[in-house]
Amino acid sequence: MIRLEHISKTFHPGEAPEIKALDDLNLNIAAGEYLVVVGANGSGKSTLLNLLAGTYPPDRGELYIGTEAIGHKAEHERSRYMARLFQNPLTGTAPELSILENFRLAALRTSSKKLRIGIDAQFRQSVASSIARLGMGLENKLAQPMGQLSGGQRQALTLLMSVQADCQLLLMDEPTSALDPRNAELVMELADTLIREKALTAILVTHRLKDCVQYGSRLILLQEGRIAKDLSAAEKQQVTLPEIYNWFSGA
Amino acid sequence: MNAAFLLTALMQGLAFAGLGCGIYLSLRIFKIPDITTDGSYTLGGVVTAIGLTAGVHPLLSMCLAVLCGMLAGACSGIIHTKLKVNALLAGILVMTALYSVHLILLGRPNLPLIDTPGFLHDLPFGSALSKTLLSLLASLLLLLGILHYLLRSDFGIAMRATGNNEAMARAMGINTDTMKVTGLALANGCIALSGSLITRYQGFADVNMGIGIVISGLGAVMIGETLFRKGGGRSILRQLLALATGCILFRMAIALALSAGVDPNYLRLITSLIVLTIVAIGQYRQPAAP
Repeated sequence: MIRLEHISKTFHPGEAPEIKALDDLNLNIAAGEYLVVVGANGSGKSTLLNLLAGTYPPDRGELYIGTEAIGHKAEHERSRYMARLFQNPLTGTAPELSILENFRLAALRTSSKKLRIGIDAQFRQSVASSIARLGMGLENKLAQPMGQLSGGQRQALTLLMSVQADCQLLLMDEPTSALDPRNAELVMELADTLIREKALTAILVTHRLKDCVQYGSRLILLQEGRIAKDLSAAEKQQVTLPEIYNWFSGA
Repeated sequence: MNAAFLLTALMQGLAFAGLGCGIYLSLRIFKIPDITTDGSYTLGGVVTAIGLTAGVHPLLSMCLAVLCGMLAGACSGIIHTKLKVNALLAGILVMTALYSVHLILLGRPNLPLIDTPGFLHDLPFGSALSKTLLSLLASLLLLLGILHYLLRSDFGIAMRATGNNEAMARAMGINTDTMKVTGLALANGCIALSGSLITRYQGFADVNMGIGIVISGLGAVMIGETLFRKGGGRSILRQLLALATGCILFRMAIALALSAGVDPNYLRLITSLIVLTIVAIGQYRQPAAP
């Protein structure tokens, strides 16, 4: 469903130090696949997600969703296909807007924002029942500004928001790195449940090796902007935590 | 200090509602310190004066003034988003350029409104004063009504998200550049409305009428916020009521200073000091983090 063909991205070209973040990368992601990406700092993981999301265009190569080339579409245009969970749990929500208003935007992610009052009793009800599954009691605080919630709560809500509108691809950029272990667990569990429930295609970039053993249907290791290892679901089940750890020490 | 004096301050406050709304939109909703304000306020006055003098219907003159203000705001927005110029600088550029535009349009620095129709002139009853008061009050209510609807609409939520968290807004499919241009256009349309109303109220347009007006708008916004800070959520309605109150109280404060015998030449100094005081109070009364 998602294809990356000969993607290269260099930062500060011609200057020292020139940083080759991705180097002629080819990657095919099937619909419904849950791809986990690991790699050392500077291996190109974040660049990969940013290129998919449209933060910047690739220098060379093309990206496809289905048969559509999206390499040079702006970020806000690509949001029609994908939702994103950021590394900073505060990035995915607007702090001065209420929980309800944040969810309203999420529900309109793939459509236009018109001059009509879209928040009605029915919408309020549907958001409340969606949030109730978190078991955080937030369904009774829909008018509360998002900024008053904790990072863990906000990341969990961001995750729920991503499935409010049709979502073909879920991008997760170290979504738990700023959360305490309990909240990290909760967010990963919720992501896993939603991905199964909605049959989403998902990409998770993570440094938590435990997560890349536990979650996902495919595992790749990036090294210096190239795919160094690519494990299918079956292979991934065989791999152990120490083995993955050794990938990083160059063994 | 007599009743007539207070009434004058009240009417000026009502006429300033557009200015307050404009600053609220640019500074509070979009977090952009927009100096285009000084220019678009004068532009509103200049266009209105020219329209009225040429015999254009007052309402049409006012609409033209608002449209010109929106155009000025859109220019700043486009310079800021498309040419990637700092928002503050973009506003200063447009404001400076507008100064020449005003002189070209007027052909001279000042245009008095002689024998032009007053507010609601075609209404056969009511005194000139009551008609003026009614018109200004109606413009305030209309503005607040429009903003109250706009900011709660889906489009308005997208506007607010753009100013509040741009990365999130883009991820929600919002073209934040277009949104900022639209927002600055709306803000400066409101501000031009103020310039238009004040020009009719005071009976002349002057190329210098807008100098430092952005500070007056800021003062109005901040007085309201300081007063309405205690208790309750910050619903849109509450914010807009605070804004309207702030506009009127700010003019009252200025009127009070003048009636206390302050030399009108010191007016901008006094204005700056009043705003500085409000800002300082606001800083000291920051609510504790939740």
